[in-house]
Amino acid sequence: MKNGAPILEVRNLSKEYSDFTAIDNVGFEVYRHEFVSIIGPSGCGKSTLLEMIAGLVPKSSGEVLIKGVAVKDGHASIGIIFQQESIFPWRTALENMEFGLQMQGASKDERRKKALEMIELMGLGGFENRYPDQLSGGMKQRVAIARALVMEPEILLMDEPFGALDEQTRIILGEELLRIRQEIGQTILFVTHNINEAVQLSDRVVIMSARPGKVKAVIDIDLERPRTSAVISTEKFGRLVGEVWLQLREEALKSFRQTAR
Amino acid sequence: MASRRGRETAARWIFIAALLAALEGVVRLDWVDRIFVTAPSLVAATAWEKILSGELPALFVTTLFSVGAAFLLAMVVGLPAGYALWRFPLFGRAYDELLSALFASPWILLYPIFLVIFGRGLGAIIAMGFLSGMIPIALNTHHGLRDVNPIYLKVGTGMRLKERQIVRHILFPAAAPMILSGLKLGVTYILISVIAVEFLVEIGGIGTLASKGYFWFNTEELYLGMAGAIVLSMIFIHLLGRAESRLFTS
Ligand SMILES: Nc1ncnc2c1ncn2[C@@H]1O[C@H](COP(=O)(O)OP(=O)(O)OP(=O)(O)O)[C@@H](O)[C@H]1O
Ligand SMILES: [Mg+2]
Repeated sequence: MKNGAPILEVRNLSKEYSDFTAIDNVGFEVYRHEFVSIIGPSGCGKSTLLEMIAGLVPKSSGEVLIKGVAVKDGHASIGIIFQQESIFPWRTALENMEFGLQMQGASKDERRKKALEMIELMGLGGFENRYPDQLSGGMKQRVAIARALVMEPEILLMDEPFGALDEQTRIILGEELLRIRQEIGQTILFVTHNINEAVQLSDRVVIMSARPGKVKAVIDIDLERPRTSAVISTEKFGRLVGEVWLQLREEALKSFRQTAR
Repeated sequence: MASRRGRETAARWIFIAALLAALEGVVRLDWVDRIFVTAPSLVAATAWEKILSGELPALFVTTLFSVGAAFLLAMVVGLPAGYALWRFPLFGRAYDELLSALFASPWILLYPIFLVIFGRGLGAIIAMGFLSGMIPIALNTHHGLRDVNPIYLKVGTGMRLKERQIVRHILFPAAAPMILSGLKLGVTYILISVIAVEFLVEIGGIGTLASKGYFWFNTEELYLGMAGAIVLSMIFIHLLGRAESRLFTS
């Protein structure tokens, strides 16, 4: 998967808040069409890291490079999906998906056409004219993903997009995400705290330490592609999950003690 | 099959009709003194007479004009003021409480000063109406904007939108329900203020009708004035409701 130069590079990235260090000297790279997960204990700075890459939170030090060029505040080829629910309650599912294109000045017909394609791709047919409060949690997340995807970002940053969902919906949406990625060929940097999810979806898993967040280990997930959720039942999957947990266990304990104090 | 809306409207009018009929009965049976309460049919007869003579339509138009002008001014000033309170948080924190306090004070009592400044005419009425409507509009606009979930704005920044786009397409739609309820509050306060001043200084309008009725013990005219005020308030609230539903379906 690692073909050519990395599309996204994070170098010595740090974030200091007034009284503590949230991210400490983090570095890794993501190659084109790769699916990389970041996993770490709660509060270790995963969201901060992602938002720094997207240029939404100022960095204290370090660099973010897109296709080899250092960027200061985000880049047009980055799309981000937030941890919190973020679809606009005053727009229907379809209108939410049209939002970015509308802001770019696309014609009504064009953006409608693209949004309808996305409705199809996301399996939201029949729900396009519903407002968010008439959609289930899983549907809302799909709308949020679609709203970012219609912009065709080369790099998609996803911050625990399935975090608030039940296990079954989460697995199915993960599988859908892989299928969609197969079709449009995005590069994805995916934050999660779910080990199974990280292994199910990724080419590589970056494991972060408890606060202050550092890169503790990077594990290659050499499960074959294309992949469905059936991969969960394989022996190799179980072994990889065990490997990730082994690295994570100590950090999770540390984080637990930090917050228990 | 009657629609839900149709049934709501029917229920509303049946209730009102029943109340009016009960009132009519109570008055006709002489259970209350006619100086205090009068029969709706007599009010209606007076109304009809005054409509034919052209007196009532003229009074109505006067009040409608004052309320409309005051509301327009209150929006033109209140909405940008609310935006400024949000845009400059220091300013917002400094003035928000002050405005709330002002809003709660009985400053209708200042009407003599307004009469001195603006003269005994529509100017004073509109100025007082404007002030009482502008404050809730500014306050609600400020609160609506301030309480917009920051994640929505982050979506805009993440898409690298211009600030102008974020304000127009995210901030204001997100705050719209609160802003609209500010407009409704504003129109209500304007109406109260306009009619009260009309009542106090007798320079035309529905309020003057009520005040004359009061002065001459003409109970029908007093109630006709009140009924007129209610009708006006219904018209404005209905129009705002229409604007609201249009806003949220486009
Ligand atoms: N604006 C801020 N000011 C000060 N501290 C902050 C700010 N934003 C985040 N933090 C702190 O930085 C740390 C990292 O937060 P972040 O949200 O990035 O963690 P996370 O790994 O995404 O956690 P979770 O898994 O719970 O989502 C936390 O301790 C948080 O309290
Ligand atoms: Mg987070």
